[in-house]
Amino acid sequence: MAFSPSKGRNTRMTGMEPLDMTPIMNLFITIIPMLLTMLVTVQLSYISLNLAATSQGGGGTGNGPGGEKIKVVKVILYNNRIEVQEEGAKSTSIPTFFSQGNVKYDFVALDQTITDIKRRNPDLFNIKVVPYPDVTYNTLVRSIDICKIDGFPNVTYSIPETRYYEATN
Amino acid sequence: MSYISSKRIKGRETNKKVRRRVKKANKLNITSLTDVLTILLVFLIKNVSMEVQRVSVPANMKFPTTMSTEDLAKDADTVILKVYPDRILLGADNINVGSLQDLVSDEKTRKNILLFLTDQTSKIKANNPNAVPVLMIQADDSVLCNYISEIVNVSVASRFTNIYFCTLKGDIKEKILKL
Repeated sequence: MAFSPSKGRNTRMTGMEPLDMTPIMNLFITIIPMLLTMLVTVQLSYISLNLAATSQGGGGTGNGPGGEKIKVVKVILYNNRIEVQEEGAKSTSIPTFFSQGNVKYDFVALDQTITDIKRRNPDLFNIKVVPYPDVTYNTLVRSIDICKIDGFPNVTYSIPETRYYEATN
Repeated sequence: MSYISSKRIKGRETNKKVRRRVKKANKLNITSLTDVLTILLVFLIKNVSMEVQRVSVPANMKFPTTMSTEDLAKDADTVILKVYPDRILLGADNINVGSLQDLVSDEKTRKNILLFLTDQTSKIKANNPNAVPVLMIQADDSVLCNYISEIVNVSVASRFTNIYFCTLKGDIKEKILKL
């Protein structure tokens, strides 16, 4: 049916408009790479450090604020072993072992030892970690971490001391 | 459309008003602009954190992996100290104060670190008396405890009451213990 010219003007076919790729290109070239670079894939954690009070000195037992005697558990980190000393009990020595050509500390055994101590002393929350100078920071932090996980939130950092005594005849 | 009075059309004078054809301006497509602004702004507002920008894993440093995590002290104002195997960097500006060997053998290096940290605690207290100066030690896992102990000694002398070690958070206990 032939339309009058005025009516046919509105129904004239037009060609397909070219697809605007700009928003899609913006998305793939700008936004997604930017979001990927901002993506954080590691989670940071913090471990607090309690410092040994100078008044307590090295070795021996500590005293609580009311003067009561507090049992001291020490984790001493050597370069070839870890020693766990519990007052009134036999100390446990955990030697290092070789794995894939590297010397490694047995943190599984340390975890087990600390867990046993906690089981025997459920009211004890203090533990002292004493690293020797040639022990790595990794070993120190992981030892502190194991103590905290196994129920000793008050981990005290202490440095091994060398004391000299005058000989008396 | 504007109207002009045309005095001369097709050779004849006339007072007929005709429409001036005004060229249509191209429409401005702001889809991409709103796209970028919306997604970027929403994502940034949700995710940006000044603390994250300051405290992140430094380049070329490997943190130990731990299971436990603790929150920073309330009203904490942190000062960051980075300990690499070959150098020590202080503060947000990463001031190089020397090597680890200098720390234990050179008194001047220890003094510089002490002065810097003491200055930081003074500034923190001056800005906000209720703020808690916190020292965050970011050390590579191969650094020896000899140097860490020295740094802790200097930090305590600088009146830092809270010292934290930065680590990576791990999930599975058995896996972390066997690392």
